[in-house]
Amino acid sequence: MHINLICAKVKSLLKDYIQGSIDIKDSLFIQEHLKICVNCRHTYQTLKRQLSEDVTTKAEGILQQKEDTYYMQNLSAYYDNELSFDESVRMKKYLIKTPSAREELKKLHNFRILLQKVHKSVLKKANFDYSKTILKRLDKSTVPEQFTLIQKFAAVILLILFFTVCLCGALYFSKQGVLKIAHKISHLHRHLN
Amino acid sequence: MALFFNKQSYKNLALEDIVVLAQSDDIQAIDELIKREQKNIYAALYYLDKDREDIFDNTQEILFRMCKNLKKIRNPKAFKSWLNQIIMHYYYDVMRKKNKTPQMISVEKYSNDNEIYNPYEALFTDKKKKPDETSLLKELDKVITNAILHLPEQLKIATVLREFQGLSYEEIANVTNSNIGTVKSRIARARSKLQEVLNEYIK
Repeated sequence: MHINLICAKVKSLLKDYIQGSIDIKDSLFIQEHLKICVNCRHTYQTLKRQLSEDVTTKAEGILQQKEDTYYMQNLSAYYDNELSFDESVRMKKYLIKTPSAREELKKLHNFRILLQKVHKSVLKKANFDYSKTILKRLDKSTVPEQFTLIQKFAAVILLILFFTVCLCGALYFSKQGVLKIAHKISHLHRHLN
Repeated sequence: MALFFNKQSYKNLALEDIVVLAQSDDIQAIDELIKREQKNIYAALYYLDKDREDIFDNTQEILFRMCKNLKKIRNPKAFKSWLNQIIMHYYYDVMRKKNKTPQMISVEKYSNDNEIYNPYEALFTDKKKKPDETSLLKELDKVITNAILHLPEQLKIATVLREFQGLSYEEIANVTNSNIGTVKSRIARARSKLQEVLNEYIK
């Protein structure tokens, strides 16, 4: 009787024990018990196997889900030939083994055909031709031709000439002016003396 | 060299070549470029904005900008990508202006990436029509274009650029200033949402 109560307690703690979520005191207690109790040891081993299988299948499930999402997201890019060589090889392999993905690809293809039909009818609405209008408008808006290099060169020469003339003129008249002033000063000088 | 092409053969030139010719002020090339891209620009605006009163003016404006700034492209292969940048910038400008006017509050509803306005609304209002085949097809057109119009903003843009403008994921990433992973996920989500709407409708 006494032993059965202990076994019951141990069995209830076994899952936590395997997952490592019980305190050290209970852990040692369970360890000691498993050494002497064949029944509990058996239960422990079965439970351990089960739990690790669950973990791996769950992990595999999540991995598969991630893989599926990745491929579905890249299906569009694959269709548009925008995947790298390696990526498209992987995608082809995935498509071969996953019929649902092939279905999706077919649906995408049909959808695009429909879109192109719609596009054709939209293009039909554009029954105008603006080529003449635009050409006229371009003509009006053209700025006069930029000056050629020769013209620019000539302009620079002229400017230089102009300034030189001004400078000479200024010097000439100022020379005259200087002489006049000098004359006046010496005149004054003589006058004072 | 350009002088020897007659008008017919411009139609057979590759887009890059037309762009290069147009950049060197070849009028026939500019003409051909406009003819090739005007319907695409119209279609992009058609899917992006449900207010279509100005769609013809907007198309012209974008075409004009395309021609005016054509010389800025250094790599003619990047033309499609560049043109779509112009379209998107123009679209953002239009949306910003609309946000300022009080009657256009509905635009803000769609600006959250995860929010989706009720796409089924369009379905229920159209069910009154008669069920013969041509009108069914027309209805389907309307259902799909409405579904696209009501996608969350970023998903809508990714859809337009991928499905109708034919840009690669990298080009879309450049045009929308995001990375390729984001573009990938947006395109996938948009497609699944649109397929959902379609399945609901078929039921």
